[in-house]
Amino acid sequence: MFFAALFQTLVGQVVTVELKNDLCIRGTLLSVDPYLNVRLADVVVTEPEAFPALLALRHSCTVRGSCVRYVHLPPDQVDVQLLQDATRQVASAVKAARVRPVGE
Amino acid sequence: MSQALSEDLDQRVLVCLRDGRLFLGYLRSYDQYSNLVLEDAVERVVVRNEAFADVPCGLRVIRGENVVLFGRVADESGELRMRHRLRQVSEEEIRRMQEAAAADQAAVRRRDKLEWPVFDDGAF
Repeated sequence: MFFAALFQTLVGQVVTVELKNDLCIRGTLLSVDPYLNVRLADVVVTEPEAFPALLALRHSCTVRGSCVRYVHLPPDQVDVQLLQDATRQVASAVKAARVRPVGE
Repeated sequence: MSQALSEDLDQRVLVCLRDGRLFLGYLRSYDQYSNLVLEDAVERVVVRNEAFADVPCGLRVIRGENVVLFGRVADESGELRMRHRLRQVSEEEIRRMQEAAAADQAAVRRRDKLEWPVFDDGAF
């Protein structure tokens, strides 16, 4: 869930999405949903030679989250500290709430 | 999926599938699994960065797991940019080119296989 929230904060930034079929798409992040489906505007395919048919795409496109390998983010826009703190908070909350199994 | 996806409804969209196939059609329906319904669909067969053909295939329901990406196609500018690189040919022509490309690939594979070092059984 953190990651969907993280991507939410990056809406409007230019990101590069690398897919599992080695296709790289650069575009402005329009929206992200909990499946990490990504919607991009002003898409540019970095290797049009390999995927010439994708030049027919108009400005926006939707990438299915399950096909994404990497999302290249602008490093200065990511609050890593906040992400780590939030993760640790939830982890400790889970630990505190854990019920000891019977027999221990 | 995202709210903005509804903008693509009833538009001509290009769908890229996991096996590399491309479909174009009017997006009539979708759901949260990205199952898609395309009306007046065509399969766009592209061979080796040189030619393409649109093969009509009527109404298509695409199961979401096969979808890689989809988006609206530009009416003119994008189409022109694509035609700049690919020329449109007939269905028969593209099938011939597909077969030729497949044969070339098979030849390359065979050659690669032959270039593997052959070890003498006695060495192991």
